[in-house]
Amino acid sequence: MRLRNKKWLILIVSVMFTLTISYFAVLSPTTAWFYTQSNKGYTFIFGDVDVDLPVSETVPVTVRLKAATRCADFGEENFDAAVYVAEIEAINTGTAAARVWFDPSLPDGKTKDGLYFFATCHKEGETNLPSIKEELEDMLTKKLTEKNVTPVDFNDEDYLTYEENVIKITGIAENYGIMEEYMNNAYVIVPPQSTSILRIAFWVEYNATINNQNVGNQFEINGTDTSLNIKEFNNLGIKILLTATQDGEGITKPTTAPQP
Amino acid sequence: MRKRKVKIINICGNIFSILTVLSFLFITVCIFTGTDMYSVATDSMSPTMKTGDVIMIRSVKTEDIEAGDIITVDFSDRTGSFTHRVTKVDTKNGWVYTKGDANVSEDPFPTDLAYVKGRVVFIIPALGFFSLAIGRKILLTVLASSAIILLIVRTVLESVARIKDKTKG
Repeated sequence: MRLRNKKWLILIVSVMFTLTISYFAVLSPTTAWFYTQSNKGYTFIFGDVDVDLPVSETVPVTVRLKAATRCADFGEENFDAAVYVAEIEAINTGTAAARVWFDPSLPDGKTKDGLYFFATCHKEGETNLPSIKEELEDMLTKKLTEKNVTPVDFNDEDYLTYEENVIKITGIAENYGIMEEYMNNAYVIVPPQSTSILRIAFWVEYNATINNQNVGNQFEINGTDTSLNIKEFNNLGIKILLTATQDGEGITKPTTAPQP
Repeated sequence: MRKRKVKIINICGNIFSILTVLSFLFITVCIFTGTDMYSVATDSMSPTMKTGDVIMIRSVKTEDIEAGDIITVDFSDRTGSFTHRVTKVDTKNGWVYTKGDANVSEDPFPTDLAYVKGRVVFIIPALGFFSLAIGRKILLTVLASSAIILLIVRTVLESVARIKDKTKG
């Protein structure tokens, strides 16, 4: 082959090679949710997001709750004993921010009447972090006494507080279904290389539980100002489902329920 | 011995050239036929697709999407995309439900059909590692810088050569 033609051929092949390598080198990545599920908790891996969500209780959670009056006992022993607190650490060891959605539910057949939830989220390392019961009592004092101890309308926006990377659900729902729907849409953002602490407190309201099918052992405590029938709920089986995704609108949750 | 070396070099050069031309033609055909390529960044679809593989996708009409198809979907804010297998199509509401082959459960939420970019038609193993490792912005910066530097060097060398020729003349 003539030297001049060979030089042109080398030049053309070099350009083709550069373009080919460049094409493959600048391919856009495609990622996806990748999560596993276990009784010990959930590990989610998405690209560079790696979120460990250890759950202290296995699923289903066996909870023994003492029924309490609506807010008569805050700051007192009976109410303290009635509140069950699940504290969950969401640890993001990856390089991208994650969203953690939380969704409490009961097994089929269990009634939801009279079951209350209260949830907060804080970043690890926050100073002077109040206990969830302190937060709960603060919420009850401010909200329920303002309303003369009547059930709170959960649709009131006053009970939703959004701070940077933190969502606080400070309202309580008379109807578990409302809370369940709300908490299905609630998430917290866990920045990369950080830990967020989700705290969910729940209790069973006394007056609504008298005929509750979950009633287990029953005790009476007399000699107090209000004679309380303390009931225990065995094996309530509350499940807290946690889902971690990347902090983005990768999969958009439907804003309206699908039609049957 | 020297002739043999030259022969081997020529053969290698020819093979390299043929492979380069074929790859270039392959990419050109893909571009003209509307076939997009993506590098797989996670293992959620393993063993079907693994990190580092390259997937080729072609656009598909929403009514042609079926359960079992592997589709690539844009994020609603267009900052990226994900690729999973279709489990159910809800045409009435315009949603598609997906699941990664390596995941235990379906994806948490369905996706709007309008964001589906296409259906995976072919998978090339391991070809995407380069793009994943380097990162798009860094590579483009390196390539652009290299091109500019080479241009400057060549211009300088040519100028020096011309000056030398003039001096000799």
